[in-house]
Amino acid sequence: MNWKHVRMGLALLAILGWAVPGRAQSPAADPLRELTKAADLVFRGTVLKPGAANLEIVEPNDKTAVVRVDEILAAAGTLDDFTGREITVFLRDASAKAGEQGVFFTTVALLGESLGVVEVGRRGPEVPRSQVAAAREQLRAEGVRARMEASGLAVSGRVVSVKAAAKADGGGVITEHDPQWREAVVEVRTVLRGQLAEKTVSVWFPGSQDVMWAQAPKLEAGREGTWLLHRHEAAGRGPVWAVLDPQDQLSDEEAGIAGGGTTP
Amino acid sequence: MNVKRTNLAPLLIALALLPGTAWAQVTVVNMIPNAQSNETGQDSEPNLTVNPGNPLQIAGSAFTRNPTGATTTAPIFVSINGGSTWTMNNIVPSGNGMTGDITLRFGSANFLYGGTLRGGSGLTLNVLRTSNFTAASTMSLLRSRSNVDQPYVQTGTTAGGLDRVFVGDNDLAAASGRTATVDRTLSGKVATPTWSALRLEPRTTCGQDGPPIRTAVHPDGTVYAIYYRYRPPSPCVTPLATDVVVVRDDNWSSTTPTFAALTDPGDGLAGRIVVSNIRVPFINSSQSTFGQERFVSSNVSIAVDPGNSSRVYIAWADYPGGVPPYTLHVRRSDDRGVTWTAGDLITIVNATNPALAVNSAGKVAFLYQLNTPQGVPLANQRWETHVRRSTDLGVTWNDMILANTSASAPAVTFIPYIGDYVHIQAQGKDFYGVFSASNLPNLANFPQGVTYQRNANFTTQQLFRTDGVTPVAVSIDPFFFKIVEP
Repeated sequence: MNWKHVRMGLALLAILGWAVPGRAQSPAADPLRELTKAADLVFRGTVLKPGAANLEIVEPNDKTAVVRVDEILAAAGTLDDFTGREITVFLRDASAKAGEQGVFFTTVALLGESLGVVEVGRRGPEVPRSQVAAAREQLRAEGVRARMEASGLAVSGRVVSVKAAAKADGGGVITEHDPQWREAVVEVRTVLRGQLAEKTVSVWFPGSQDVMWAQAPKLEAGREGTWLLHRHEAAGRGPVWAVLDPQDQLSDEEAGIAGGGTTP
Repeated sequence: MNVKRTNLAPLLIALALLPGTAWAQVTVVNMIPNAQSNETGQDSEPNLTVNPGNPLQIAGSAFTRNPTGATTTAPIFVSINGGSTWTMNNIVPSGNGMTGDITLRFGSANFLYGGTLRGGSGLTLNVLRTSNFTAASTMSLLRSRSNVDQPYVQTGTTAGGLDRVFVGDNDLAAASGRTATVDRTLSGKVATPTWSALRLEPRTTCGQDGPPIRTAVHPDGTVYAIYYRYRPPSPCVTPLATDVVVVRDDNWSSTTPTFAALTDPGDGLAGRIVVSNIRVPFINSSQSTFGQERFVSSNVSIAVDPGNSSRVYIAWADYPGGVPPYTLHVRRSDDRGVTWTAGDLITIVNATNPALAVNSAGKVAFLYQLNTPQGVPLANQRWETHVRRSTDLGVTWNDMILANTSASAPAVTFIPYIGDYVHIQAQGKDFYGVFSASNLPNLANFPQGVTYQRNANFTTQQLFRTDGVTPVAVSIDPFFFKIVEP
């Protein structure tokens, strides 16, 4: 049992429980949650110029507006901080009035001399930052659990060795996108999902630094972690456990969300 | 902080010394938009296309991540003012917020086609299309199939307005190791185009052909393609024994047998073997002796003279005699690929990413990236991006350096470092192209001048976030260029 992860998970769930109003509702019924899920930029803003745009490639119309970003409530990825800047919003309808304030739930479509964002929903300006943050945390936790459910085997443990996998997959094809499979032996401390009789598991991962595989988890001897493993058909080898997606290597916090597990 | 800097002295010297360069106006633009001033991605392997119906409209691509963290789409670069400014538009379907290999090409009536390995889906070819490349709508999927490498799109338009779309690719699932392929539709603008996978390779191989299959399309319906044939025996080992093969079709590849108009006098099979049994390296790791780039046998190019479909130029790369340095070669045919210049029109040593284009006046342009000085430690190596042009069928060439940038900074984060290919095309008499290079804002690195949209200070040679004060590390960016010919 990885008590560190359990404690972190319980703490996170407690925070979510306190922070999300109407938590008795099913998640799908929470409109703020759904808006947050659909958005990758949520901000409190003020409509400055309805029917306008501040991107050269955007033809202004009654469903575009220049909006000042007053406060970023949530931003994903590596998007820079646009607080205080004017951006172009593609509105859901032509109802925006100059001076109107609101919380805009948007997806980022264009990045040029400014941003061009598509409105997926809007709420009044009183929506607190904490409410959006709590929804995002809830969504993240759900995402981790969903990924774990989609895996065949989820384990926490330590990498004890790594070697080149037997050259079978791909049948000797020459491509710059060869994954250059490597095989790690993981000493398993906890099984979070699936069945494992042994105390170790062999995990394949792409060792290649090619653009196609560079983001894939690179297991190194001595590394501790939690991995969500999937069955991969290796030519000439049969099914092996593999980790390919960077999201399948969990952070400590995500591992806490994933839950307790059992000892093999 | 939109900065336009021009160092006039080298340009004036070049103008004085190189007659072919006289009065050409050169524009170089860093394509990363201001809103992405904080980005530090390795935006390598760029591609570019100019709308033939409206040259102010240009689209570009690179290994660029969707900065929002969204995984369902990846960006292309779009310009509606002839490349002066650029906007990222997240319209490429993806599974991880990036694309794999990607190329773009305009057809007619503002249709833009794309060929990509779908992000997060390995060797899954997606052929894509949009009729409005600045709109926020995700490009529509026209074709999808697996086990395909390096899709490279070209288009041609018939007198009747039909878009012929050619996607050169290495179909690793093709039978008998004859993998050089062109996925082709004869009518790209219809709701559901019909596609065929046209096999180019009639000969045995060591198990496959090389990754790059490039086409050149002439408005009269002549379509050329070039590929590396990896010669037997199996298995294929580096440096690969290789033939450079050119095939031709005289009617848009619309009747069978396709790409069979050109045969080799040696064996009578389709495809003229221009050079035989050369050695091409395949070393799929970052090379400190070659500016952090790799060698993955991806460097062939072909261009047809728009005024004369019988005249065609090719370029390829190899290890002469089977040993380094990696060397580029250019040759020409004036009789539809039947015979070729006996020797190279030009040879470039220790360089990569050859790309060719021919303009409406028959001037040929040769774009490449030179790793120099050869044989010095990585810290002292540079990547020089050159465009050479010739008005006398490749007998003499002028030389223009677009960029002279560090080959060691930034450090490689994945391969390819600057890309397995670049692109140049002609639109009328003018040339348009794209390359990737280190983005340190140093005027000395850009002899023709350069414009940055992202926040940069050329005096302190620093990059900044959108706030204009927080420093940003140097990275690899895509650079657009345009050469307006007199």
